[in-house]
Amino acid sequence: MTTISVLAMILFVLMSVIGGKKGLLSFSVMLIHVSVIIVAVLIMTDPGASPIIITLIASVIISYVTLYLINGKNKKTQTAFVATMMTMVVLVGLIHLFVLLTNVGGFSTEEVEELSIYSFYFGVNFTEVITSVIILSTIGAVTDEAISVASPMYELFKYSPNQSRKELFNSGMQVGIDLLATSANTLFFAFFGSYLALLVRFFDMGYHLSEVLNAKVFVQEIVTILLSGMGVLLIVPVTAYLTAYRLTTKKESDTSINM
Amino acid sequence: MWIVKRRTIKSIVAASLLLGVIISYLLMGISTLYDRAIVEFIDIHQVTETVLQTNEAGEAIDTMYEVTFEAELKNTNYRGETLMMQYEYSDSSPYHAELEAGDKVFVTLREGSDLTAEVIEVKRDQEVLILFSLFFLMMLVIGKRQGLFAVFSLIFHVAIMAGAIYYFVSQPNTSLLALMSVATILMTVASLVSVSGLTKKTLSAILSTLTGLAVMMVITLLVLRLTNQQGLRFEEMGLLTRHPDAVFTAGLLIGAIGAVMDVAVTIGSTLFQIKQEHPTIEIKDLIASGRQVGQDIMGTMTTIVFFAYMSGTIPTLLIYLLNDASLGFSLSMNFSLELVRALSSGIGIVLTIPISILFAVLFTKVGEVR
Repeated sequence: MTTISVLAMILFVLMSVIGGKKGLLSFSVMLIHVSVIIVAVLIMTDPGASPIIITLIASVIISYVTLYLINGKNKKTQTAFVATMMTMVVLVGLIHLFVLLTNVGGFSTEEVEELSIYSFYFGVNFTEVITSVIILSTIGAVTDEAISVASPMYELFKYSPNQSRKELFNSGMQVGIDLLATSANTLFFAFFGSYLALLVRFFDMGYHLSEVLNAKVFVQEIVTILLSGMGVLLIVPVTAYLTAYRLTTKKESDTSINM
Repeated sequence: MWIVKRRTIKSIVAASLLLGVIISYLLMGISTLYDRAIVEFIDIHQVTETVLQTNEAGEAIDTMYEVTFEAELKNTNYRGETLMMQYEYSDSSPYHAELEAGDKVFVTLREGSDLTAEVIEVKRDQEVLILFSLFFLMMLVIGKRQGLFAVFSLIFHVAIMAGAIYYFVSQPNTSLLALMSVATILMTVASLVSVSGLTKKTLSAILSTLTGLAVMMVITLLVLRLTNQQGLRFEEMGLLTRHPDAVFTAGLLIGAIGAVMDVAVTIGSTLFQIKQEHPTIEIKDLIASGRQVGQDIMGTMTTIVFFAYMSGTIPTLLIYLLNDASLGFSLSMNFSLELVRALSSGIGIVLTIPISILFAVLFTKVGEVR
């Protein structure tokens, strides 16, 4: 038995025992996510396809599956989905801009050494691939933040439906911002866990701060952390505004029907 | 008066931060402050194109550009001298990006009959500073106090981990996992206490987080040992000069802290809230509510860590597939470590749900007896 299959079995049993039906659903969603990533990478091997466009399509599927399968199809998840898509479009531009500005596209010297037996020149744009990596590493957190903001806003509206758009927006912002530090932490620690080898190497080699701030291998990680932090931040006002807009617009149309 | 004072302090802090950023930016622009030789590209002299790859129709889909640049040295004893340099990049830019006049790069100098230079690394620190400032500004404008808190906790965590790694590197016989466990306790306590003070709720969340992480580590290490790490490929950690095993297991712990803490806090706060609003609630109902919350967050939490881990494998996975490696081989070479991380964190997330319920029930009970 391989390590991975044993761990997967343990997770499966735990999820179904503790999570019941929803746990089983969550486990299957994870399997769907694995296959989405693999299919996306397979399509990227075609030099005619833009990795960023493929990633955006993959993000739509990932966000859709996460929201609708796990949280059910309703107005809350619908709003969260639209907000996620809107944020992703802005975020993609920001991510690609900074990948270009900091010149962190492609592999680092260290990685190139590892992969020295392979050829790199197939027309696949690896600057875009790095943008794709950053988009995908934050999509889970952005989607989660969207539903965490939209859901309590709908509940609040149920109990006090006479709130103005601005009041609703403010309470949505409050909820989102309270979650900000924990959401960001979840992401940051996951990145630190992956980068630990890199950090150890950094101390082993006795790098100088100016080397860290310029070396591609480090700057790639810094850029990923900062931009994904911006992702979980940007989704908050977008979701809060969109939810407030939808709730109050619906109210107006309802009253007009009654009249 | 007090409001005015507070506002003054705020503006002073903001002004000094802004000043700090501007000064750092300017300092980073002064090449003579750097030890390594820096050149600035002035002008492109010649470009030689070589087609590397064509499609079925015979059109070029990947071209290598060999550029001859005129560059000016910005520091060292040869400051101000110009020289000719070669630089290569391709459409696919797997390694070198396209550079333009005005870009600065670090080079190694060779003093022979002629002065020659070779590119080592593009200069990026000013751009990193701009990105960090934008991140900080956005956190402050949208997140206000909480945003500032998020930035500071990020810096705090980096500092703690840097300290632990520094100690590990200087004392080669210590266990990185043990050091990171101490760091984990420090970071968990500091994070949770700074969010909601030293209360029963905080204590319950701290104990849930640490217990959840401990059980997760025991299970994962046990599985790693019993299966002899079968199927795990440590090649991707080849950049390490030491045994990758220890670093990998310590990384498993660090990677799960955020997610496990999130679960512990979410469940803990909900149960304490319910107990406060309905003091007579039965334990059975409290457990049921905790389970409900746990089931709601389980899926999204595992999704967050899953993508944070797996996405990083895409570039090398792509290289394997482009070089006609089979899908199975490519996946086993690139996915294995990240999958173990994702599964292990997933186990931590799910296990923390009953653990948090247990501690929350215990701690709300303690209040009752008193």
